[in-house]
Amino acid sequence: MRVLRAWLREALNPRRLLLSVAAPVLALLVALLVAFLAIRLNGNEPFGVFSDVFKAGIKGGQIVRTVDLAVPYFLSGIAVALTFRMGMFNIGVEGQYRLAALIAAYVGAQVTFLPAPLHVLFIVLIAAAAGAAWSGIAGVLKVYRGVSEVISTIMLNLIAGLLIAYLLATYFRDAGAKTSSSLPTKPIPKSGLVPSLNHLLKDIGIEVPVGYSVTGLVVLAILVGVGFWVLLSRTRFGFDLRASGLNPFAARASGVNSDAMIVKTMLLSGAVAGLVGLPYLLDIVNGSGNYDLGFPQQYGFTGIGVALLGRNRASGIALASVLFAFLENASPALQADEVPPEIATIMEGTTVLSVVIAYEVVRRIRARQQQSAAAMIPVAEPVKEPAS
Amino acid sequence: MTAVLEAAGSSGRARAFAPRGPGPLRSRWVTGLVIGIGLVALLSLVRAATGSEQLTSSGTMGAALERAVPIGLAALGGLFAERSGVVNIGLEGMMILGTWAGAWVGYEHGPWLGVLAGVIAGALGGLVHAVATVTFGIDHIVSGVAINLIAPGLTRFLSSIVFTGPEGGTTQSPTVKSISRFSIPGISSGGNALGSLERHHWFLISDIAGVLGGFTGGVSYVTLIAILLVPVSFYLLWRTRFGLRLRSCGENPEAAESLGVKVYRMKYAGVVISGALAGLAGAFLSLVAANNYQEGQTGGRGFIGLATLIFGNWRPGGIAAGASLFGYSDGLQLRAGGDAVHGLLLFVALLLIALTLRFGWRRRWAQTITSAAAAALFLVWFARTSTVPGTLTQMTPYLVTLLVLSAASQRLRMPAADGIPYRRGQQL
Amino acid sequence: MSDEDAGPLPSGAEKSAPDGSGLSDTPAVELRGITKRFPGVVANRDVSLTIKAGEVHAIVGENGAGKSTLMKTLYGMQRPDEGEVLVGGTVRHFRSPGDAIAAGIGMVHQHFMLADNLTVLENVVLGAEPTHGRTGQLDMRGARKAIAKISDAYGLGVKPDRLVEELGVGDRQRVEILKVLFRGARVLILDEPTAVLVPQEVNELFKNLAELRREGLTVVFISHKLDEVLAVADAITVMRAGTTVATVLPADVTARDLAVLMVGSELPTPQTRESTVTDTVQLAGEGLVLTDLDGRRLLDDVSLRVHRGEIVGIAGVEGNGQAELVEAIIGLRRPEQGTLTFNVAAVGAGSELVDITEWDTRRRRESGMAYIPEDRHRQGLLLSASLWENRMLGHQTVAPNARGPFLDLAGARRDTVRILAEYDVRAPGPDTPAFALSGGNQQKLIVGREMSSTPSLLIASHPTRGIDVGAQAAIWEQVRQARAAGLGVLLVSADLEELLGLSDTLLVMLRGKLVAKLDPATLNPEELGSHMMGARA
Repeated sequence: MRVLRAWLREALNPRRLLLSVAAPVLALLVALLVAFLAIRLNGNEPFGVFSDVFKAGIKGGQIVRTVDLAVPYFLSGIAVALTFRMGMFNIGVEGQYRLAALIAAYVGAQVTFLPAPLHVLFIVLIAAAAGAAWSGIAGVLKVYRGVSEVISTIMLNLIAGLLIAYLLATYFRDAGAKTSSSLPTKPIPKSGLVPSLNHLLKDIGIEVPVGYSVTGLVVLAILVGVGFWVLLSRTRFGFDLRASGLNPFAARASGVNSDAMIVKTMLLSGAVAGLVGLPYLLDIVNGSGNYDLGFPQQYGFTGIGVALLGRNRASGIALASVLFAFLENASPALQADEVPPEIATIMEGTTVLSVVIAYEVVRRIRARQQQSAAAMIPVAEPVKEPAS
Repeated sequence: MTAVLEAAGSSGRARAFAPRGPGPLRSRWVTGLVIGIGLVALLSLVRAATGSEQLTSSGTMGAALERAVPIGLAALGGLFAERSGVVNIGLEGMMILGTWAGAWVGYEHGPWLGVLAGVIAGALGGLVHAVATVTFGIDHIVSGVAINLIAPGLTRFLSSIVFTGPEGGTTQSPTVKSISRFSIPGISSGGNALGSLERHHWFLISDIAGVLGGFTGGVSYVTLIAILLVPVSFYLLWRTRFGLRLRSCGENPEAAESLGVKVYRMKYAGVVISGALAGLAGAFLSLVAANNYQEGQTGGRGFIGLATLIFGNWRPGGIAAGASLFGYSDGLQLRAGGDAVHGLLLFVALLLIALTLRFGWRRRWAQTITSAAAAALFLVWFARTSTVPGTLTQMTPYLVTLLVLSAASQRLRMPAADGIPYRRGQQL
Repeated sequence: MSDEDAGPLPSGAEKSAPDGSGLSDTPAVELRGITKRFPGVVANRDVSLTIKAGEVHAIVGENGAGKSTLMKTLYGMQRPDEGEVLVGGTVRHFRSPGDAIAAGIGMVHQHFMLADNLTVLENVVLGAEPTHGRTGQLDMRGARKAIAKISDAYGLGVKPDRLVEELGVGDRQRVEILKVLFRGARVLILDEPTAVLVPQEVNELFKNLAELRREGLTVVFISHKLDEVLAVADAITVMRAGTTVATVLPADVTARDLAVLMVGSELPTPQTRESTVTDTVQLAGEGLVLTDLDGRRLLDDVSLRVHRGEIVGIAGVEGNGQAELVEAIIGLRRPEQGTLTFNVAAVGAGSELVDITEWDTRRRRESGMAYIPEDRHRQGLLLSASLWENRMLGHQTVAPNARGPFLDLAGARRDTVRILAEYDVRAPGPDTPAFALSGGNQQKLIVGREMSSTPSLLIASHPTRGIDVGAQAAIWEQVRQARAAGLGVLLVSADLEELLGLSDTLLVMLRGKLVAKLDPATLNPEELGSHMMGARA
């Protein structure tokens, strides 16, 4: 109990609190400044545009759209964060989720005999397995051939894009489809789609505006988020994973099988990545129900930004994914003000860069403070030198 | 004697595959030339066997060259950054900046100023990367990824502001005047000696004529500059004070700093040059390979450049070889389509057979069996199909990179401190 | 290595050397009132120091006394917060090592500052490159000539076109010295130059230093090995707690006097008491063979036995297979041949030898192996993680750190508080990140955590490297207690005194082989050194 209180006091220490908030706030300010300049450059009045975007963003319908879009961003962010925490970098979420969505769409459409919940579960598992298999290649190459996962996942992204085009053109497209230029796969039967949460929300007193739908895959995102937190901070496996990220040599000396760890982490990350495309694919209201050349891209890269902004923590990633979704959905409001909607993309990129820089600066300040604090302890031994 | 002791007791894979130092340069160039001619001879054989005259036609070679240039320039860009110890995954983004700025200034003020603008825009992208990685010491990959996120958004935004004319728009610029090209009279134009040689379809001679024809006929001056940049980069990095200092920052920045080398400054130089070369690659795409800026014009060539850098073992000669390989497979597809690329399957099979013999002669049985199996696989593929899908050809650079890395990552020697954030004087 | 013995050296080849005595009135270097603060620490406090031209001036002090900080200030790697640096009588403000080099000061770092993938020549000329005119093109031929000239003049025997990664420790050190001479340095700072050398190599180094002094150069020699200092120095300055406490002449003092000046009392010595060696085998290796990618043998048919209650010391020049042996025993490397057997019975509970050759590291640790790695930052700690997380490291699968597949955070924190108290780790609390602790406290934490899981074998690799005297004595005591409690101990060290003082049995490694089994009671450091060099059969 005393330990807990001490921990609370430490956690709520105003200086410490200020430092933890400083970085993301600073980064957002920089991003806003960049947006400000860009809007000015375009000949608009920045504050007016900001307030228009904000007003549009907090309308009920926009909030629903933001939540819906935040789901794939969140999943993608978690997939990336898993590898970050282990000291690796899965840049391949992009290829993993697209390929997984294609395979899930194709396989899911072939299966017609499963009842609704099982059919959905089946498709989810297929997607996770496909994503895991694709990222597993990078893990195996790293362990057995010493290939950096950064390079291999970049290559696998590009290969996946071409492979998807090839598979759609040859084997996977629905021969009976009317509009064949986009090479769609066969639609998944209704039993494989995920219902909207609108009714459930209505039951607990939340009214969703007409014409909008909260995707049922929010549940999947919550499950993944909670699982991520428990796994990393409460299990031995999570400790091994984090230790490997902080110091791979010390982790090995502590008994972690680093090779197995690399493969497991990549498989896990790929499995989560495989889920990223599902909200778009499976949502019964707004989903596509099949895969074609127009299937949304870039979620994987956005996930990198989300993970970095969220500091690889589940809660942070949730906030970051909502923020990114909000920015992304600001386009209509921006266009209404005749501002190019690409400003949102620029803001995302700038936020990522500035947030990482800000965290680095804060980390250094804090490190110095902690070193001073440790040095204040009455010491019998003589003054020490800095790390030498 | 201590040296022997130490060598005996030392461990680590890096030492196990120590490259042979700087080595006699001339003999390496000769070896390269011999291998090059050997490959053309083999290609010639395949051409004769399959009847795909396009395999070594001057048209194919010209296209290959044009495809190789942006890849090679991007890879050279990567070389300068990574030799100074900074990984540059942002090459793609810097290239995008180059395509846009090249087209914009090219449209307004003529193509040559456009090229210059592309270089400057790329260098600015490099500067951002340098500020983030060198001054603030953040992870190089993260910064590169962020630049790759920002660049396309930025160019799209700027396009919607700038390219408002009838031909322009959010995704493309108006047409830019093209940059002049040259041919050597009497050899590759006018009398066109090479062209007539090529038309005879003689073994090897016509093929070499095709290669030379492609390299001397209708070549853009920017291409010429790009080719010259290979030896220039080598000279700069390995024969000058600047180069030695830059490389020392990539190998052991603490040591360099302790000898008075301004490590931050050298890293800045490396990364900004890197961006400039990527920008040049971008400007080449929008001003030479095409006549305007188009969204998505880079098509992942920044990443292929990165792959080429690794394929080339962080050396200019290796980069030139890698860029030629990737450019050729790309150019052949573009020029002659999947049927001609199909002939390459036989080429690869023959190469693998040669490799098998070599391994067998050295009694390395595991490798012998692997390469024999691969050769058989390619032969069967060649025999059972008549064309190669374009998507598979486009995959070539990526697959080759993965293969090379898998087969030889222990033999590759990246700069020792590459990608490690460096803080002056052991600061926290 | 034999170049130095080639008789009289051509003198004055490079510079016009003053006559042998060469002690002018102006001191070569003078430091006045230097103070340097780091966050929370004052590394140098009002230090004043005068170094005469042409002398070998030793600076002694224990780890953490501020020697390295002072030298970094002199070499321009840090700027002092207060005080001034005078070279040749004029005040200098060094902003970077470049400025110090220009003023004729050169430094040979303890950890060699060499780029492995560059040649000797490139390493030497870096930062002071001869070029053709103003083109910036390197003058390789000129550089090669200049290097050969200096190398000959001082008998260094350096070959300019070899890659540095092919060189051994002694050669690397000579490259470092050549680097400094190439820049025309008149004052050489050598930071703990003997730490990595065996006694015979130390003698070679001292010959080189004598040669330098004869050429009129000034040498600043940093060390904490008192006998060496007494042998080589013309003057000795003692540092303690960030400041200088005395400057003495070697003729006037004994090693004991110096020790008292250094730590305020006599230096602790590693001595074990009466033998506790039992007949129960704790660990046995038979015919261990480990090869690198080239097929060279890192471990060559190594067999050894550690009994309960016994400390087995492993001596050897670094890089002769000691690190590989330790890693093979803890399971970080898998030998191609040979077997390892281990007594999995608890200490005092009989004997149960099991073949553990195929076991992974985790299983070995869970069965009673405790491991103090040679580089605590690299293998022993998660520097940015809290102390309680570091307490779990290596023991994350067992109580009090885990329950089933889940972590027991409260248990780990509680036990960390206990370790901090019992092992005298000075830290604000269990949430402090590990990097904030001094080396000695970090090491005490590692020892505490490793001894807290009832081990039966303690593998201690360089357990007191780079830590202060107090922590050193505490860790020696822990090792002695482990032995008294009946643990088997495998001790690898480069500190010959530590090996001779603590070990019951001493094994010498050379080129991956165990070449000698010696009785530390009847051995002196010189004899041991000969064995380590392979000079004795």
